[in-house]
Amino acid sequence: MAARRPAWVVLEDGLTLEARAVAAEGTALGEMVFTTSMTGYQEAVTDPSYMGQILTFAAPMVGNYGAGPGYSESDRVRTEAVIMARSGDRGGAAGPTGWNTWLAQAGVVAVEDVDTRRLVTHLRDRGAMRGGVSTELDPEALLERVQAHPGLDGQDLAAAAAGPRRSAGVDGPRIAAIDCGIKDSIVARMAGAGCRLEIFPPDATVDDILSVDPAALFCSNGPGDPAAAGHVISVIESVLGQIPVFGICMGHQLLARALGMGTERLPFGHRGANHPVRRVEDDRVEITVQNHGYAVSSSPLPDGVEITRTSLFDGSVEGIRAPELRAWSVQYHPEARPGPNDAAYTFRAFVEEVS
Amino acid sequence: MPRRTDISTILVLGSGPIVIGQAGEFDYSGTQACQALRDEGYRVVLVNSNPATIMTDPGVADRTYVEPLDPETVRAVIERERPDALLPTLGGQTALNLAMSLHESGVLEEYGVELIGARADAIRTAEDREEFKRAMVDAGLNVLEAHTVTTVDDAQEAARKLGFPVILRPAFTLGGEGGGVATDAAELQVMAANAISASPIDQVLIERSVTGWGEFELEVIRDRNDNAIIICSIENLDPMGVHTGDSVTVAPAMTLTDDELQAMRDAAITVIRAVGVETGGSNVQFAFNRDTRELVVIEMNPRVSRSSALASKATGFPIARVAARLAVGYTLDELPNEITQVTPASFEPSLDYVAVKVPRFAFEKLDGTTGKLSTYMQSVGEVLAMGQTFAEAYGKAMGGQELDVPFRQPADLAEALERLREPNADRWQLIGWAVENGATAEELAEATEVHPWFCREMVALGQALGSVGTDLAALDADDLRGARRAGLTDGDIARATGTDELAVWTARRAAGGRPRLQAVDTCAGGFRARTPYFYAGVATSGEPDPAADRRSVIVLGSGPNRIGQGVEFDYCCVHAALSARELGYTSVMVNCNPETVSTDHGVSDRLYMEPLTLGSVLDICEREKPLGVITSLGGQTPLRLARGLEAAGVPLLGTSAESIELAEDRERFAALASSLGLEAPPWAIAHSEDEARAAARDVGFPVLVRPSFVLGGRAMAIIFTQDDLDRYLDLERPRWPLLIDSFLENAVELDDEAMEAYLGGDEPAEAVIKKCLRKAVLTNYAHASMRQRCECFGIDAFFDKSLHLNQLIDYVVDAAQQKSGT
Repeated sequence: MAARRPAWVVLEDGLTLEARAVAAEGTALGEMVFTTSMTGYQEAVTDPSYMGQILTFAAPMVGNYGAGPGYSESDRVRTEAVIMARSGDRGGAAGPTGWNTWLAQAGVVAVEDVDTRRLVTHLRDRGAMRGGVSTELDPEALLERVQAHPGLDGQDLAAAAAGPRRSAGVDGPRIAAIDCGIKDSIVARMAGAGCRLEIFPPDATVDDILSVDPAALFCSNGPGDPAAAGHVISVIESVLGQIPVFGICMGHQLLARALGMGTERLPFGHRGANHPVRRVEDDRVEITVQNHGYAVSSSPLPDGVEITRTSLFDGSVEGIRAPELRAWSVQYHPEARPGPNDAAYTFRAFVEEVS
Repeated sequence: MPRRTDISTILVLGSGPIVIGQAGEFDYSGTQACQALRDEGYRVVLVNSNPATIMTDPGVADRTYVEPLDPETVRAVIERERPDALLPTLGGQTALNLAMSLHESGVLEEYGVELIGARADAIRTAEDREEFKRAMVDAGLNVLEAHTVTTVDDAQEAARKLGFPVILRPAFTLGGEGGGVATDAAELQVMAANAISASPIDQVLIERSVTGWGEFELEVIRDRNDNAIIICSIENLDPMGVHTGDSVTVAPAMTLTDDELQAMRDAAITVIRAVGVETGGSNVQFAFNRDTRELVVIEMNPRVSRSSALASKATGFPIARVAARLAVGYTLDELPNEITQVTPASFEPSLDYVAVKVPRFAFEKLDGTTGKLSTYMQSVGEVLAMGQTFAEAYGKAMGGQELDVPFRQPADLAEALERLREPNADRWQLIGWAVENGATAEELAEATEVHPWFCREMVALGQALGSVGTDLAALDADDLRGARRAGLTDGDIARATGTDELAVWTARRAAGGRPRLQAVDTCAGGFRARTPYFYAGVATSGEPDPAADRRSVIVLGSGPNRIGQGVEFDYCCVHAALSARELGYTSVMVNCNPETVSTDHGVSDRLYMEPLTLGSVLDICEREKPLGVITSLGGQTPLRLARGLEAAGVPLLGTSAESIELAEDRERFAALASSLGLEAPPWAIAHSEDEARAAARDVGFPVLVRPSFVLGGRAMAIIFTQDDLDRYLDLERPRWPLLIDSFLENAVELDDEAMEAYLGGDEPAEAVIKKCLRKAVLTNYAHASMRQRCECFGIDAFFDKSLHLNQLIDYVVDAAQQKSGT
């Protein structure tokens, strides 16, 4: 690896932080977000939900155990850039490749030596905003680029995030899945719970989906503004009542909109592996993995829809159910990776429900 | 679920005297528990035999019995107080074993006392090695192959099946006491007999050895609604084979992938459910083979443990306070997170810093010990430090140990690496030496079985030290900041450049390299913290400085426990902080000992988890601009800083540096005594070996020799002959000057407590002092022996025989007035 070069992190409100480049050269723009998850850095940056975003790790040291196959959540790095306090570049349990080297090979702009706590508390206090990381521009030029960047609101990124039409799993009920940027672990957990997945890109039509005679429709996680994903919402609307519908994260938001609920921007998003969620049915708490900047609004609550999960951090909606339509969804990530497995039962419950 | 209303009086058991493996952390957890239960409106009855604790202070419990922690006494307390419930999980192994004994003898049933926190069957499952293994296997978890034995012959038979080496783990013991690693049949023969007698039920587990595997711990909390959360993951740098209390540990775990960590998390929650700990905290230990990825459960404590205290301090999550509330029926989602006050307790702390704990050993005080580490705990204290990198936290923690004996330097690198093969108390100093002398990370990893990631960190630390050079003046702001960020302390830089800490601190300050306050907020900055719990870090930003209103009083704590400096100093510091707050000042605590009440963030208005080194304390003073600093209540640790603080212009409250020196400098104190006309044994001061020999001859054998500024009699000795003196000088190489007293044989030793009051009250100062003194003499233990123990020297006898109480008081008053600078 070449010597670390100076770089800059700039936010749209002018906050400027010094940095050192540890991977690819260049300039990256996007929405600034942070995660408080302490492990699973490779899983995080390959999560398609992070498209359009620059990810800051609050964890003090990132990259301690190397990188390698088997730890990615999709075929490539999805974050626009990566910001860290301290990053490592040695092989370890995840593989012989150093983390910085792995990022460089992926062509990702990544920086360290950043006062990440300052960045995190800034975003916490002032809310989500656009930002940039550059190894080539001075702060003034970078700020101009940041302010010209369109941001996430109104962006439909599902098509860009999704993979091709494909299948997964061998036996069990056939599930049609709309891929808005599905994480590999969701596919693996679904298949592991015993279903056959027919995965469609987000521009699939109702006919495409019904042509495989699915026992249920699943709508995946993904990046961007749920309000902009009109086509997927209309597909869900069409099948609601015909077959059960289940959604995770973005899929949850799209189901909610199809049911007539609203979505809204959270002040600074939920991103981490320690989010407690209360289950309405038994008043139990599960520690969940979250990665979302938008949430389902709790009102208006249409007839026939129940809130089944709430965040113990801010009371926001974490799960809904429409029993008569056999539709339900969760905002958090039961597939974990990275994070606790408390909600892993969700996949088995889903398969039982639709079998 | 709200709190239980079917119980009203709760009996809490303390942990008794301080022993290795059970120190002030149980005063911390017990005090938190008593306060939490009283806050909830319960009547708390406490039994603890250790009066040098905060928990036995008036006002902590409703009724406090300073009585022996034995079944008969506690039965009598139960008979009298009729508690509805007994909370046994916050007083260490002592309380747990006592509760089990009361359960087994039927006392609890007889008086209708319910065990809360952990029921008897859960305690038995966790503590009985065989039942524990069975429960783990039933729950689908891996355990080490092992055999439970009750005789030495069976132990040999078990070892033959497993193959040597084998680990011995006696049931129901504390800190692995009586256990160890046996490498052959002869060793096992002796060790098995010891282990069997160490176990209260004569039961020992002979276990397959996984020495060299990685060792990890998870702190789990569960509530009665079966919610379970992990407070903290802790990675031991020392691999399996060294007791976790003797290991350098780091939180969060540094080298685990997310998959590995989650597998451990799932297993830990399975363990607490399988054992059946209904509510409260437990510590689950794992061994992890890095090559085969094999994960095995080693053991669990069904109670708050030393590791729980560490996890509480490392994360800011008050495990004991939460555990006490869970025991009376609350659930985790009902309790607020004290630090953020906006989030519930049912979350898992997220760290944006690294916390490192290093053990403090005291083998230098124990003749005939080698410092060899094993599966039973031998350290007497610990230091916790935080940093924004592992190296920064590690460097700070090592610097906070206050090691006062130089370690044995190896002749060359080969010797160092050879010595590193066997874990020893000096291994981390030795690693530092080896790195400075060219050892590679691979060599270190091979010799020590410490994970290569940490070995590389050690090498980087050594390289940073090497790049500091020998000239302090040549270091610019970037160099100094870089050195700090690399993990070097002011002390390290001072040693490298042949200067002192004050010089380095001054240079760093001139270069603008002041560390910033960083908050310990349990949530990695995700929410605004309300509780001011801080460490210092080298980031470019930090929490805003406190208001410079000169209303804060900084209390310097006592650092790591060691022999002669234990929780009693913490007791004083806690009271100082509480009193300062009562008087309307902002109380600020600085300490690095996680086993204490003083490092509970509820005790002071602001808590700094920082080593008690001059640079760290000066940095805090720069931020706080305090009214003054109290150095006189934390034992020798803060006293040693007094001069430097004064030199840097920091106002000291209470005893001045001058007065401290007058008392601690043996020469000056002796001169004071004679100027006051006080009788003292013949004495002399020696500045060299020759002077010492001459002085001893003049004073006349036997003599008592002691250096200045020492703690608990370190390097102090009674010497009877010239030969003994030569041997002492040769072995101890004491710091000069040395005070040589005539040793008074068959004399009685008396301690007096004097205090100085400000003049100006209604009573003359002398009267106040005399009143205090009378009380002190009456209440203080007043017997000790010199050569032969005085048998049964009761208080009445003391009054008869001491005769000169009033004369004694006059002496002390006089001395106090002379000594006091104010």
